[in-house]
Amino acid sequence: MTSNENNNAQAFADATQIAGTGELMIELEGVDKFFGDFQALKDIDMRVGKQEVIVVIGPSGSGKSTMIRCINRLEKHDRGRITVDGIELSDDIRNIQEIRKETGMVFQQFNLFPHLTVMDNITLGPRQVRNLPKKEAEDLAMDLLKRVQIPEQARKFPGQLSGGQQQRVAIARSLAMNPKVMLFDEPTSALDPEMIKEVLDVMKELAQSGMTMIVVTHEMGFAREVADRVVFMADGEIVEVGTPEHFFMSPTEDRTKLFLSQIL
Amino acid sequence: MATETPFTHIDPDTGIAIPEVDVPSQKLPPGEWLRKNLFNNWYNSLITVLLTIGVAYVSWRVLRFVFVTAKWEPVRENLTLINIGTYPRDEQWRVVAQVLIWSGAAGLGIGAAVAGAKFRALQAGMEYVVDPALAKVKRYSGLLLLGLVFLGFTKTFGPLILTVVSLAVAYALYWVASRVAGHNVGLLWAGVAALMVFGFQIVSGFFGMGWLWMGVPIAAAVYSVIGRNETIEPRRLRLIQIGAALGVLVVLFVVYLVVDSVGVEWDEWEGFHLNLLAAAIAIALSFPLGLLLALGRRSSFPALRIMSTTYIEIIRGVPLISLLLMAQFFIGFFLDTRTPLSLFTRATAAMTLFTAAYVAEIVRGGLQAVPKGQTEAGNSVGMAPWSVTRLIVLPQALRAVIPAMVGQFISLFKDTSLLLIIGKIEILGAREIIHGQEAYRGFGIAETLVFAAFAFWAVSFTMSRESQRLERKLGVGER
Ligand SMILES: Nc1ncnc2c1ncn2[C@@H]1O[C@H](COP(=O)(O)OP(=O)(O)O)[C@@H](O)[C@H]1O
Ligand SMILES: [Mg+2]
Repeated sequence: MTSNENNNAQAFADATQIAGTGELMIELEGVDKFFGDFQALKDIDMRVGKQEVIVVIGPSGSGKSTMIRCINRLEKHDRGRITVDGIELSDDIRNIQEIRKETGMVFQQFNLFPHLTVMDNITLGPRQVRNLPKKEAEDLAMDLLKRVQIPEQARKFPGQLSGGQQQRVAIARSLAMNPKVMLFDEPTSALDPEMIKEVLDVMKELAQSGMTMIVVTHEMGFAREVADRVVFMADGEIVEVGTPEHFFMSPTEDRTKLFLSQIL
Repeated sequence: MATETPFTHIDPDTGIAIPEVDVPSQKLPPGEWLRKNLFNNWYNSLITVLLTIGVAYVSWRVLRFVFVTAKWEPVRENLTLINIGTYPRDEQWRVVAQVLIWSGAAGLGIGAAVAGAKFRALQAGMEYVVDPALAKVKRYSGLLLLGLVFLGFTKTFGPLILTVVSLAVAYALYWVASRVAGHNVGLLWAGVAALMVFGFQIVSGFFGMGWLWMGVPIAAAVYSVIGRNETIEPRRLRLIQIGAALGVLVVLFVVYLVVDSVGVEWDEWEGFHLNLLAAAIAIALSFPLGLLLALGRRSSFPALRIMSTTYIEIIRGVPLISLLLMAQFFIGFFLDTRTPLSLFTRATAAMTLFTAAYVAEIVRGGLQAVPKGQTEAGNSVGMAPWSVTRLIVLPQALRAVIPAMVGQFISLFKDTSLLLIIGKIEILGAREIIHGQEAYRGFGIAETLVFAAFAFWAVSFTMSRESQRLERKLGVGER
């Protein structure tokens, strides 16, 4: 992160200029998305560099979820190009699966598989998709559970865990695919306040380890501390982009100022 | 670090949280309870008094009929006829052997379920709770009652000995199975399947497709044993598994060419035995077929979707009896009139096709109840669509619809009585033979009917109890 505030404000005049290592990881070009007649994404341009952490904020309904769900094709974009690690997203199912293998996603509602143990939740992907032998997959899962600090819960079912523990399992489940990018869609919004920290701590550790991340969140503390860039969205558009300093100290757009005044 | 959240109760089989069901209710003293619930105002008191009189009168008439006025001789003298109709008497040993084998299968199955539940409870760090004996007696009260009545009617010791030996076999296998290590439970289930099929084989003889029938569960067991290898890559492992399973089938095919091929035609299965066999086969076949139809109806291939939907809607629009009559007469229009298929096969096929349409709709309801987030989570790790359906969506969907499905199967079991109409001698047909006998012409007609109805009730009631237990266990509707 550079220190000069003016430089930053200029350097990130739009969302296509990247930080991180400088290599390109994700690119969205002119992406439009419609739900029927309703346009949820309007000409989105964004690039994310390798090892970069982007925090996306914006009012509810502004298209944040839709945008990151387009990146791993949980939603199909209608116009424009999306490229992840050099693979362009097309209608070919193999192509889509390639991108999904490289992109982990963490959901607001965790979406753990309630009929499988924590261990099986994590090993399912590696065994099915990465073709790992059972033993290897379980070793991997144990390592990841240690990393998210709940190795003792391996044989339990999701229903037996607290929300914070469930979300950490969900993160471990994504990491088990050894992804190059992690997408987080409001990972702490469904959690009781006392559990938010344990999940954010895991995410911080992940960011420090050099993972490329796009995080939709309302946790401004996290944005300030971890984000390389903050992207503000409203009405399906990217309104403003900047470093956390720029963003929280001297936002330029009126809509950004209004939003920040409401939540801070 | 990790703190446990308070939860009421988690089922070790499924991991689904179940709110404590039996909240201890305030127990009132009997007098108080009566006053509060039955005599709390004048019209409730009146209704209570009238109902009591009515119930007392009906009970008295029923009891008097059962124990005093009823002439049970037609039933008592014809127990074999009721059970197996005119099944060749020389071959009766096959039925006896089948009863023993299936008792063993039941014992093995219950033992496997217990071993599995213990294992999962242990792994999840929970206590395994044993069902109280009284609950078990209540659950199987229908079958117990039927067994007692039956034994009460017999005049030789044969049935008693058979009952005792069957129970002993069942218990022995239960004892062994319930002590098997939890991760071997899959093998026990394969054993259950093999025994079930073996029972069928014994009663019909070892000919025709027997090698395939027997081979499938054994091949499945071999497949699963090999699948336990934890160090081979899944894709290579799968090739080895398939190869071995095919090998088993080939070996059995050769064995079956050699062993005795004498048998009993399926059309010779009669009596209550026929009701049970037809229902068992139709249930076992309609489930997978219904599953495929449900998936077909949701498929993204229009041709498959239209075909499944059309099939389901047509079948659900016609009465079962019309399908059975078609199976009896009509098949000749489509196939050859000298069709090689037995009437039993055609009728069972009709019942299977009929029930599959209903199973499909039930399963479709279950599929719709699985949250979209589950599919998305599976997709987001890059799993193929079919794997997501098979490993994530279906298991959850099927658990949710077990009660509805069992209801459909109970209905199917009772509908096997319609076989009478196409001239099969099921239990009601056996009744007609009884009343064709000189001694019982126009005699004891109500009694034989009551007995037949009682036999249907005993089995249906047990199925329904079992499904209630599953329902409670799986916390359906409480998620
Ligand atoms: N599946 C859908 N069908 C129709 N409209 C949708 C769907 N998903 C999202 N939308 C609409 O698109 C807009 C953006 O939604 P979303 O991306 O979820 O917003 P955010 O995550 O920023 O709150 C909202 O107005 C929402 O109502
Ligand atoms: Mg959202």
